[in-house]
Amino acid sequence: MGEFNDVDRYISILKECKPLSESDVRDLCDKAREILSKESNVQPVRCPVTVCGDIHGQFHDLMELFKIGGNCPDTNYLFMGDYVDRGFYSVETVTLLVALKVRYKDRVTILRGNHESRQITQVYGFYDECLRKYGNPNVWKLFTDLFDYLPLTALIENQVFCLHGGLSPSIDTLDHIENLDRVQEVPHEGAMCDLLWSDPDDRLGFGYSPRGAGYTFGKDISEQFNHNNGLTLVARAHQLVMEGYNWCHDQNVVTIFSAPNYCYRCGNLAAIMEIDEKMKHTFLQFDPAPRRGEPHVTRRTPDYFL
Amino acid sequence: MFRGMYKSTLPPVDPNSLSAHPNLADQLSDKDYYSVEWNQYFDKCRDIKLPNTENTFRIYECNDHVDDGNLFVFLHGGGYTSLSWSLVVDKIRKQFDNVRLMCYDCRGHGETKTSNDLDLSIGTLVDDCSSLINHYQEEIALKSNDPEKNLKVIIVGHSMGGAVAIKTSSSEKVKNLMGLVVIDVVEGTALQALSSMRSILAKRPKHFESVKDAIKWSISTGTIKNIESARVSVPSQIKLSKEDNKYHWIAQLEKTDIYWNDWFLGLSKEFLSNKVIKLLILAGTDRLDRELTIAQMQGKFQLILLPLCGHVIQEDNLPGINIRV
Repeated sequence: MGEFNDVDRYISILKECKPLSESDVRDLCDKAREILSKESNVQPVRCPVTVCGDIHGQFHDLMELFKIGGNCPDTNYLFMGDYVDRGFYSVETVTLLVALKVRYKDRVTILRGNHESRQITQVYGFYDECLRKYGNPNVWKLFTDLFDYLPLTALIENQVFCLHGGLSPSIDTLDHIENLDRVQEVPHEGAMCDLLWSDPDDRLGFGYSPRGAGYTFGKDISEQFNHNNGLTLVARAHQLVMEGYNWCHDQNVVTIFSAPNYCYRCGNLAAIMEIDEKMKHTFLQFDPAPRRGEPHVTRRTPDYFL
Repeated sequence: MFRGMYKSTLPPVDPNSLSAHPNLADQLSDKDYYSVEWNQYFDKCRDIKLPNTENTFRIYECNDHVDDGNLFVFLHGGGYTSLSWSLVVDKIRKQFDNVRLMCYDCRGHGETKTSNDLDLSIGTLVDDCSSLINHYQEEIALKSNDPEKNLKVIIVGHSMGGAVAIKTSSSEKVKNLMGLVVIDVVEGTALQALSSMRSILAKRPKHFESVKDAIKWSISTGTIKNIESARVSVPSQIKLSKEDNKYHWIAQLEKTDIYWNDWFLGLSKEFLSNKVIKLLILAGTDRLDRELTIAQMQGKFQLILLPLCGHVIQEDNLPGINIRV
């Protein structure tokens, strides 16, 4: 057990929503890189497993998620990215998830979301939060360097394909994904970008995404992709859905979003998807955790001119 | 095209620049507050009188040889003028000689003269915008001897101009409108901020002894965070009064407050339901209201954040904006 003494200590600190010291973060990221670099672009995952969507620094809601879904390592988890930005506790949230990954590497899978990037975190909050909590950008640098190693997708029992965003016109098979060189900043275009940015849409075929990155993909694309790769389902996150989960494309695709009342203002439910040992899935929805001692949300009113 | 903008990448932010916000005024001396003419940034400046009206609009143009392809029309915010876009326009014309650029001074602002300069009701502003753009297109068609000529229009609006851009787009009065770029205006946030607007206006100096004083004021209050932009933009907002030999604001915003609410009411919904390509540029995520936060998180439009800017983003963060347009 000795090898996990440090990590166990990290986890107990983090569960109280306290950030680790910079040197502990460095140690943790070293250990995590060691593990993640050995994982595959399409990381195989066994059932039973509970699949989760965006968290976005909402630490107390992540605790609520573990309450609803079960603690690690009693429950196996697969997180589909977007751990940081927007919420107030990106540092604690991502550190805890990485610590759980290091402690229980075969029971926890963490994928990369479009927010696990240097560029996005500089404008959506994680960078500022690191500066505020550590007084320098070192921890931001450690994590964003680690993000480059996160697997892009996961495959549960060769049937359920999990990723943050969606499908790409430059990818037909899972083998294509295996061949990507993922250890880099999320690019602005191409297969790797699309996997993290695309959204399903009512329109058939591929279309340009209104987001300005990735594509929209239609039911025909999802059906074809699932058929070609012997899949039953694409599970993805990336889009806020008011009920926490949402089926589309004739149940070829499901969206899962696990940040309740996103940004402390959207009023949405969160959900996670349990897949049992018989590959049967069940959705668990949850509300925001009761707030204790969390800063009251006030938005700065701009010094507007008209 | 918008896709292209995004791909041209966000410039990596210098980590050091995020932590320190040096006070610009401390680094400048008195001799820095000189004014600069429009012709440093635009090719042409002229007035267009709309047929059957008493309304003459001041417009500024670049690349007026372009009569095919894209036309960007820029709408400034309340109190500003076309010259608020100077640096952006200049940067675009240096990068692209195949897009036509046009800014106009809105009713009651700058050098534009209308039959009622105080009527800043949203309906009137939308009519002005659509009539002017359509007239401008007809002019181009006439000049090129091809009545079919019709550039693809992208309206770029800041603040009040952003509201006019969105509502003009919803009115479907502008022919061949293709895209909408809206800068730092969000319904929920704007409506919330309106209550403080009267006091902000009241706190502004009523007049300045000189143009230099006005430029200095805009920098020292942080209203504009870029001296180069202030030099060309601020002088166009004021004029010398013969009565007291002082410089007064041209736009009499405080007399138009009955209209403000309507500029912004229903804006988020209209922005989202607009069928054209949409890009929203904000100074921070704080600015998003609930409706737009949900829509953004559902991937309904493109959002760009430029967190170091004040409200007049296009004047403050030039590299941030121009690279995308």
